[in-house]
Amino acid sequence: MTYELISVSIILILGYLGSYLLYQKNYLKKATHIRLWNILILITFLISVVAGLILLCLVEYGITIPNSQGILYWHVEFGITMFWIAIFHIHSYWMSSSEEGEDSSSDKSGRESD
Amino acid sequence: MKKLYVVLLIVLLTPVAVYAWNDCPYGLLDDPFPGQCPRYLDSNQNQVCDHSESPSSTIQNNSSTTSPATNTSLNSNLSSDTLEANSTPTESYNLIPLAVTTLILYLISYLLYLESYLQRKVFYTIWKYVLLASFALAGATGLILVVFINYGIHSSWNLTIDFWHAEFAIIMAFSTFLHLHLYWKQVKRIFKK
Repeated sequence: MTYELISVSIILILGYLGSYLLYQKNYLKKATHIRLWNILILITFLISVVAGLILLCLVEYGITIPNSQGILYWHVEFGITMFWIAIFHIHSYWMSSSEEGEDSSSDKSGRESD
Repeated sequence: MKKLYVVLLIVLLTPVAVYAWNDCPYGLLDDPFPGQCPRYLDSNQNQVCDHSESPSSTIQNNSSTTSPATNTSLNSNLSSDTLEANSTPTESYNLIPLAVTTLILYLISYLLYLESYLQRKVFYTIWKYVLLASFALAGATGLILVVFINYGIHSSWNLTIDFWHAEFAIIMAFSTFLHLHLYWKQVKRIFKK
């Protein structure tokens, strides 16, 4: 069995580019665009981490549970998805922090932007 | 409602302790080439990972299809495979030490921040870079493993990469929970209408 690396990556990149273009063309609010990808990263992170921790416990304690093959498969698939969405997440916040930096370069309060 | 959570926890956590025939750490059975994990080992070249093979079923299959003369050599070959598979060291991924160390370091930096020894911006930046570095390393090693598995590349590095993937992923996972704690207000805002 092989893992869907290329197809998942292409779908996600196209999805992000689509949502980013919609936001750039003002069809989508910036908050909606960011919220969408934040929800997705949270879901993929939780699934991937829970599956990863289960697999770690299996290896560390030599336990076997039914459907561990499925857990490994979905850990990898959600891990690939999370990898790409994390890059989009970094991109989104990098852009907004640089925009804010330009807007409020005189602000010395040190308040962290979200 | 509480009872439901308790039942769910029991179902999830109770090890349906089925110790497998084999020594596959993921409990895979007859995992075909190229295998689903970087531990794939096929010393008898039957296109099935030795770790996932059931010794008893393999013995039965072999004895029913081969002559007694070849059977002896096959059995010795098989026993050496099984021996090799069983001798694979069980690795410890240091889950608890890494998690506790990350948490302690976070708490120390949080205390320093609360006591104003550390600026808020510095405190946030430190943990942002810890998360970024662990993500980059866990992600890169994970992608290398996926490529290795997809293309059937087997090298002596597979287990090492797998080990470091797990280590960096543990740090990344706990740093992400700390990241969620740092940005909790913004996280809550995501779910508000």
